[in-house]
Amino acid sequence: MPWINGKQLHREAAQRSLAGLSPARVRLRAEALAAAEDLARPAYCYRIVPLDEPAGTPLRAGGETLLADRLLPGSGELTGLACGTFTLGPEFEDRIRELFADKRAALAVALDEVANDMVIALGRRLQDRMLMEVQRRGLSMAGELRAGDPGLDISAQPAVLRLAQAERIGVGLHGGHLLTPIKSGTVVCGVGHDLPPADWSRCDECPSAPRCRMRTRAAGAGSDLRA
Amino acid sequence: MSELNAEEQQLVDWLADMNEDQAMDLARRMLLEDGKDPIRVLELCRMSMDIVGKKFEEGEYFLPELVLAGEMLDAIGRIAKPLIKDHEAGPSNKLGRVLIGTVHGDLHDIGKNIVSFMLDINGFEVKDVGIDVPAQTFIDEVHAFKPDVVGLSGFLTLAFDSMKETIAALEQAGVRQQVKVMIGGGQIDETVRNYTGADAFGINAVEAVNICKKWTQAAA
Ligand code: B12
Ligand code: SF4
Repeated sequence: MPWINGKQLHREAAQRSLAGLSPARVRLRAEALAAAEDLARPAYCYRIVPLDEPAGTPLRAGGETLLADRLLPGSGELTGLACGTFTLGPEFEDRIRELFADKRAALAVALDEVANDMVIALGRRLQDRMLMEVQRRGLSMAGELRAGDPGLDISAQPAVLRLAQAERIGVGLHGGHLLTPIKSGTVVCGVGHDLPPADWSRCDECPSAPRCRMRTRAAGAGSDLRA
Repeated sequence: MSELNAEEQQLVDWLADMNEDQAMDLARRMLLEDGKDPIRVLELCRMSMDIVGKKFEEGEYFLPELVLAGEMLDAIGRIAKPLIKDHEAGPSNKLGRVLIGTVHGDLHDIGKNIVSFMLDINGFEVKDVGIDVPAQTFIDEVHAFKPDVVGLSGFLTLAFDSMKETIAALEQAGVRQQVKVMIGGGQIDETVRNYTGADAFGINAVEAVNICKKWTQAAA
């Protein structure tokens, strides 16, 4: 299973523009980047799973059932699902918790921000890999859903993890739906023949959108991969 | 508060503008060299914190600025408080007690930690019972810690059910009337507040502090 060099993700996070930030914020960001240097244990895994039956409501693949109508294409043919999961490992959350306990809250928040930048970059890598593999097979990939964000209910999370075989990278579930480690995510994309690019984003109707900074940040990074 | 002289205004401005080094140097000098009244310096800190809070609510500042300002205030407080005479300080100066935790089934703690920190530096006595907290722990802590306010945090929509269960459990244990309950985190709004039976919801740490201040002032 593909492990990925944390240094690359760290470099990506370090490239984020600091224009307009106060000198104190810039100093904190530098401190957080230094603290983050050895904390990432990034890993991802995915599987491309053929549909068990022709695409419809619900979708059935790999023995699992998903209610994900948004993946049904306007044209072309949906033949499978690309299901993946990614994690930065548990070290970030442990360190952030320690910093709060030491009353170093500003550094804790800055480190959390760096971790979020890195996990978003990691998710982007995963999706790039999935796309490469899909294209290698002569297929196309379209639409991106995350269990818990609009378009795919959070109750689908266990099925998504099973489809991605998440145990390979140590991503598990707490209380039925929450991923552990915390700095983890999952993704489900449609795979098939001549799928048109999706004209929607899971952020479109997200109730968190008005106060979500991840949304604009991810868009600025030129990707449709968000929180 | 009486009018500010130039030096006092400078401290307020530097704190509110995040000029950390200059603000800390000036505060240290005022307290340790010039023998300035520590209570006055703490008042100036609170003024600057109010400005930061407003800028945060207006979207000019984000969480890191809010927390950084809190940290500066905390650092100045640690120098100033030992200088305050015994009769003026003491636990009676605390605004009230807040018990806070992330409800069972949820492990998100950064939002809760920020709220705890901001309540603490704003003068509340805070007991943080951590993440994935069973309803029974909240009940036990209400008996032991005797909080004025219970804060429940949760980021998943599923946490709303845990919040509802926790509040119902407080009711069943006969302690619901002793405390005010506020909730926060994730997609919380008035509908969720109503569903869970909480008294208020807050979408950020500034709101959490304001809610607690309002409640404890009303009770005083
Ligand atoms: C950053 C983020 C991530 C990051 C980091 C997550 C982390 N916890 O560290 C990453 C990319 C890893 C991530 C992953 C996922 N996420 Co996410 N994520 C977010 C996001 C954008 C911000 C959450 C956060 O860390 N905020 C940081 C805190 C400090 O900021 P804040 O919320 O403004 O904090 C204030 C308030 O919450 C308030 N507050 C907090 N507690 C309390 C308590 C009281 C009493 C009061 C008054 C106030 C209060 O005060 C805080 C300080 O001002 C939220 C959306 C949002 N805007 O809330 C989604 C969100 C939490 N994620 C969501 C989802 C679905 C996921 C995933 C499941 C997606 C997926 N399939 O991959 C995964 C699962 C992760 C997991 N471990 O299970 C959903 C959950 C919805 C649901 N159905 O339950 C949300 C709500 C987005 C949405 N769709 O609306 N996520
Ligand atoms: S990035 Fe923000 S707006 Fe988009 S789905 Fe995630 S939480 Fe919602």
